[in-house]
Amino acid sequence: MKMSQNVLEVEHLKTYFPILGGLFQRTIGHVRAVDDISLTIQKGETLGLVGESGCGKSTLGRSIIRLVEPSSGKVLLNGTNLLTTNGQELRNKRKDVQMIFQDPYESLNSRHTIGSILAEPFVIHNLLSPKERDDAVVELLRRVGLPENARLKYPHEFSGGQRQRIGIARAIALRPNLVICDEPISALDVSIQAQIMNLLIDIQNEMGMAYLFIAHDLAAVRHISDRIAVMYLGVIVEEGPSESISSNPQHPYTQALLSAVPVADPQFKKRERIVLKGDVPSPSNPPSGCRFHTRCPYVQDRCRVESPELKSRNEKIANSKVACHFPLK
Amino acid sequence: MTSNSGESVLKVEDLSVTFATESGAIRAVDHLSFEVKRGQTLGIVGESGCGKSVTCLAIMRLLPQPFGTISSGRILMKDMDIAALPKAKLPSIRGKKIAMIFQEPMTALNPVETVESQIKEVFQLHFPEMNAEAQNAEAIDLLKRVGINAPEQRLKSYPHQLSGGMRQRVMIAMALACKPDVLIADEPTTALDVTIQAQILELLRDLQVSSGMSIIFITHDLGVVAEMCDQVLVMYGGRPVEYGSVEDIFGSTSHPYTRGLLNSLPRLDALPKSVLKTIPGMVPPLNQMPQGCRFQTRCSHKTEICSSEGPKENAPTKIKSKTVQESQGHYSWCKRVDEWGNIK
Repeated sequence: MKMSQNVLEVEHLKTYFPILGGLFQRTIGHVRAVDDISLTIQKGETLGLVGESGCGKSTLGRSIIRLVEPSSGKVLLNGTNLLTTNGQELRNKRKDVQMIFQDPYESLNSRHTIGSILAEPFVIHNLLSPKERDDAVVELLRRVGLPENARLKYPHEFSGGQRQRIGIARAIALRPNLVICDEPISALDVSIQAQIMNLLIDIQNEMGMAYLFIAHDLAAVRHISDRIAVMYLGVIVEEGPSESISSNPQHPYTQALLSAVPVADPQFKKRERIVLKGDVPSPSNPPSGCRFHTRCPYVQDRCRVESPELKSRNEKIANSKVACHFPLK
Repeated sequence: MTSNSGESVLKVEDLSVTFATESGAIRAVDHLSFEVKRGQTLGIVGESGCGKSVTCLAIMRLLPQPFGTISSGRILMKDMDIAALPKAKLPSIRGKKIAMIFQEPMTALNPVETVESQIKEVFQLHFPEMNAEAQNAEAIDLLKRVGINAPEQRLKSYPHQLSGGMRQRVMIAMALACKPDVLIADEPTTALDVTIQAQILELLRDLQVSSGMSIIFITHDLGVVAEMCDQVLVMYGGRPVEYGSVEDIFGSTSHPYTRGLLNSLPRLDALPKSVLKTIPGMVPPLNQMPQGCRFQTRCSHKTEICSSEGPKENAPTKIKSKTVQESQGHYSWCKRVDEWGNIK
């Protein structure tokens, strides 16, 4: 660890996808999926990343481990820039950052047994002897609450929740410093979601890794995260400690997201709620000024021209940043 | 609510649905009874495989043929039994009396037809006497009612040119075209973002107030239930476990499964990173359900009686409401509900 306690530092990361068109399939524009994002994650910390579909949250997660190639910026993992490392060195570095995917039905190879799926990380990185690998697999299965004989079975023999446990076991096999969880619970039933969240929290307490927890469910994100970053159209609009984000949102978009979450209590039926008008604009041609101004209930002239910077705007709320000219009190 | 809110529009009595599979017959819905009142919303809640969608397909007589059959029970609208209706009579029910909207509007809409031709198909089928001009005016009016801007242009669009929320609005417009008495909404907002979900829920509530239709709302999201529903039916493994008004279900929960579902939700007011109470294990496959109460394999209140006897399908325990002065009827299918009463 170099100086800081940060596992991950993302600086001015941009990931643009070209839009091809015309007779010769030339690039006629760009989808700005991730547009100048900076964030940090400390050792053992969970950063929740929320936003609606198409806001770029999954692309950000994938850009960090270069499953998609970022256009520019820096991704420092324990001080090493992943975007300038290549070949064997990158492979070594990737040991320290693993990923859990949304769809447990598609992220496991259906022709491999669970045993070989879980042993694969050790094989790839040439770690442990075959005997030790077997022991490690049994230990991993125990850790995620699956029976030992599961290693002889195939993915189709398991339910969605069990497959997600296998995905988690694979991600923690190499004891990474950072796990990127891309919507790990949204495909699961309610009672199973709670089991998986408990498991993630347990494992973190035991092994001390950091999580980047990507989800659209604010209640779940708030439950599992220390800090939350809210994304809208490729940029972070607000960032801060979980509790202040949920009890004291400063950005109108965060406020609207919170108010849109249905509360499981009929007493709340009559509450005032902010229903945003319209849909999210296209990230290939984001609105001028503040990107949220087309749907913001408090929009003013300045918002349409001047893009607000993500910075601390209220000293009373520690460690919080918001990108809004007129933050909520 | 409308003044005649007590009137029953749809009554399901002792409904069972059986599927023929390679490993024998499986009963996906097992002796289910409920009733939908005029202008009210009934929520059917439960996890995957609990039979909530199959129930609705049975009401629409859309069970996959030839495997799915209604093996017992009646589905009554006034004096007519939909379950016993001959095939030729079904078009007079579908769309006109009961309409349905689905979870994924992209797969429910025809991708190669414009919105216009899909909406007009409804008119051509149900109101053949309507002329082209009237159809046009009606289609535009429908799109306006579901909150679509520039309806004249949207009529010319294909489904892929619309956003998810917009597609769901088109689906709702088509479902409303025949002014149905009952609208079945099968997870209509599950595929949508929360802010768009809020728009669609608000739209459904407004339309219900203006038209007086009843809604059967199928969902696994208890938050949506609390916001949308008047009555709630909780299902597990094809059977009812609890039935009552939304206030009763949330305020004096009377089944361990309902309680477990509520406890497993992360709350916005709880401490972050606290341990969530979970329901251990998972739902057994339908052909491996235990004798007696089906929830016993995951229940922390289980005793001998749960497997030897279990709850009677047609004789649930009536719960005295503690939250509402006059309960409309709150039932629990738990044998031991009197012993633990209102569990936490």
